[in-house]
Amino acid sequence: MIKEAELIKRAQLGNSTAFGKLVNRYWNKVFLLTTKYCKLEEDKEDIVQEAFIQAWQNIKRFQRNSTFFFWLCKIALNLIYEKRRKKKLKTISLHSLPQDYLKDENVISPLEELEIKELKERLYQFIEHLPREERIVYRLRMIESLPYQRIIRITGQSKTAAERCFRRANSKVSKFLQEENLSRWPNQIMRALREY
Amino acid sequence: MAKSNNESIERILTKFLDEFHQGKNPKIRDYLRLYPGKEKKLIRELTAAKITYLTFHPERDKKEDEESLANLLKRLKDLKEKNEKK
Repeated sequence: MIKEAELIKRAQLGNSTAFGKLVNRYWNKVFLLTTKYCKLEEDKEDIVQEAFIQAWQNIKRFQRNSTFFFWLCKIALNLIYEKRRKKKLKTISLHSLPQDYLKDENVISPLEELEIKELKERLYQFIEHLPREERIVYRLRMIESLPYQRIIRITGQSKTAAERCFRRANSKVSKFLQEENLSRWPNQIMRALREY
Repeated sequence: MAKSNNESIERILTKFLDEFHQGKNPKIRDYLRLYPGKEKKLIRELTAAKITYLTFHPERDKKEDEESLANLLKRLKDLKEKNEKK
């Protein structure tokens, strides 16, 4: 099976067969996503189709600082918002909306949810690639929230050794976070994380 | 929280995370005050720990008022920019 990166590269050079393979690979996933946020059956089909058309038209602009699937989801979700917005414009007067609704910045949109998920995923992937000892201690301490008394029973290390492992892992995570292009974490994600 | 200037970063990180595990909401600036002379290292380490912890346990951030995760991310970005200038 050809790797995704290779297919993207070929598609960016105008190879429609390569893009077709990407479509086959992600159609169902994107469809599932739209199912979650779209009620009407015909809308789902239209959105998935339109998302892939837009993806093909803009594939050259795709940058590899996010996954291709994430990029596709963003396109699909933008289309869903657009559709909802148009429907609202047709049926609801702006004056009939409660003022709080218009001001409410705390509402987390599906796109924001997806962005949070992406951030967690990136962080999780990074932790998974840490050396074994560091990964175990870091996960137990940070994700499972275990105290050192229990961690050292699991790993058989001394407390000092476990703390050193944690510190090494944490320094690497710190470097990873600094190297992440924070500017592409939009305000929404920062707000959503804060309010989550 | 006992104060000791000779405390290792490892031990400080332990205390910091213990506070989270106890349901408290530790503030980085409190730790900077407690351990003068280690500010630069502490900011990096504690910020990373806090961001990661809150990312995996977002419910902990509900009580955050003064030091939101957004501020932490901004601080990290500033640090990155400072490092790039050097």
